Amino acid sequence: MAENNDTGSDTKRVLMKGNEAVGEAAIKAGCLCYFAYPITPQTETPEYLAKRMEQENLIFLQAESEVAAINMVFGASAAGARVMTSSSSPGISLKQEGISYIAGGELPCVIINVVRGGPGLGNIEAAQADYFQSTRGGGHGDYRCIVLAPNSVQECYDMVMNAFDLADFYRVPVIIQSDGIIGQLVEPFDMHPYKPMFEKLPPKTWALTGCAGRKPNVVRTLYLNPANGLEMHNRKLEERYKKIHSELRWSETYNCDDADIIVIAYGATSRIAKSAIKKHNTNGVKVGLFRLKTLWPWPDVELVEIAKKNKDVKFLVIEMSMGQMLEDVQLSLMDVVPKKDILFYGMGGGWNPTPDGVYEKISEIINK
Amino acid sequence: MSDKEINILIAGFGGQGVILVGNVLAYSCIDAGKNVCAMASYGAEVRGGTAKALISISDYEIDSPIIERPNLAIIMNAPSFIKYIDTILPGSPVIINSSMIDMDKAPKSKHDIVKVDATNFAIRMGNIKVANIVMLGAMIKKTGILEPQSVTNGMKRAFYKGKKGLYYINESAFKAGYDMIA
Repeated sequence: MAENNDTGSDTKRVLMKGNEAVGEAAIKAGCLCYFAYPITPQTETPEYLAKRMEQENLIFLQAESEVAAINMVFGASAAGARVMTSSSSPGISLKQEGISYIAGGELPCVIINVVRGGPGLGNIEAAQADYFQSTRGGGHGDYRCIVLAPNSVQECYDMVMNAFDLADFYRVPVIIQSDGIIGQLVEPFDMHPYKPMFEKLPPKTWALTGCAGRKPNVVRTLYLNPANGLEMHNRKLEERYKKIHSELRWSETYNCDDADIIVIAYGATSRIAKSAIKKHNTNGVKVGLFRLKTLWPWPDVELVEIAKKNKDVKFLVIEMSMGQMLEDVQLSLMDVVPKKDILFYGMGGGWNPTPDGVYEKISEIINK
Repeated sequence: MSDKEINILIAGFGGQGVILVGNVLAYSCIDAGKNVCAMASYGAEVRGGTAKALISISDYEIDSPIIERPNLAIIMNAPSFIKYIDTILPGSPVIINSSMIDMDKAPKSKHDIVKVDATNFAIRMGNIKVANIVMLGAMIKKTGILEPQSVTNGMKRAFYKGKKGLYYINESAFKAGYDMIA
């Protein structure tokens, strides 16, 4: 499917799967190493990179397991390389120990999760039930990962570039939370050259690059001495997470002004919902959409502002899960919206909503 | 989900080029400046099993990638016809490969059935694999959703690099399918 169609300009309009766009964006963003193990529905990423990284003389390695892959990510990142891994839900669960170590070691990396149905091996259909795992850290200890949620092939491409920059800027792991629909979706998109988010990134003075002529650097996750060493480390991380929360909350709104009902969704679900919302809008019903682009940090300030502006508004959270982001919506709105006005429509296990299903759900709320 | 959105189902058995027709259509839409969004079945698919692709084409932004009721279809074999015919909106054009679907034995439907003897024709052309593109030609003539020039441009992009030699036979197949429809 992927092709290089040289039109002479820097930006090309190309056709790719979301999973393939992820791979190309990584190469353009200067990803030196990619380590992964195949799993449906994300295997197009390693398939694509197996070919492309060899062409570009970069490092592609299919590891013997997900656990091995994430620990290779740890090593490459500690050495200062831009590094990425990808998997789908059960594989991401296997990686959690490594992700905790990477977060503890303050190492930047990019992790792609093309979410499928769970728990366990679940199925291969699209799902959003890894929301808790992504946004709460996932592994042991107090840490957070930045979580970006694309809803188109274009965003798969753009957000992977952003993810490398954010990881290096804040020295945290960045997760791209895609799903079986977005990963498999084929759409044309503008393949532009790498656009750095920051004018200048902090130099990786901490990296293990050989210590001839300087004091050795140490990347560590074990803090036994002094006694309060780990506490101080946690405080430092907490300060960083607060900074990220204050600087990085991405969301977008559609027809929220004056809306009686606002749908809250991300990823594939947000697009399915938008179809239904547009149909209601043409019938004169005031429904809007609040779409999250970052799942952590959560755009709570933005949502509260909307809730304050729209008196008596009802919120409808739609997820391909039994209601995980729902809890963040309730937490964000606890002081401004009664809990009964926050409604939920969703299901786990690889179920996805349909435009008609969302349309009917909104109609039900209106007619109550 | 604008009324003007064209939602196409392409179905057949694995190996009949179902996904390829989807790709050609998507490239053609880029050429024509239309928005397009395609989803193919994935996962535990095997050669000989049923394969399907769903493609939305619109002059407007395409929101939902999930298509509930296709309003146009290309059906390549009998099992796919039986499996999917009821999902297609009644009255919609359904282009069927009559080489592999016997309409006398097929379930009754309320669709605008267009029969194309695609596989037999492709065999006579010397390559059974171009049956899908014969079907595509017929579909484009029947519906006029894209200019034929856009589709041939799309095929040039789909059959890139090592596949370039395949362009010419596919171009002939497309024209043949196009001319089969009055």
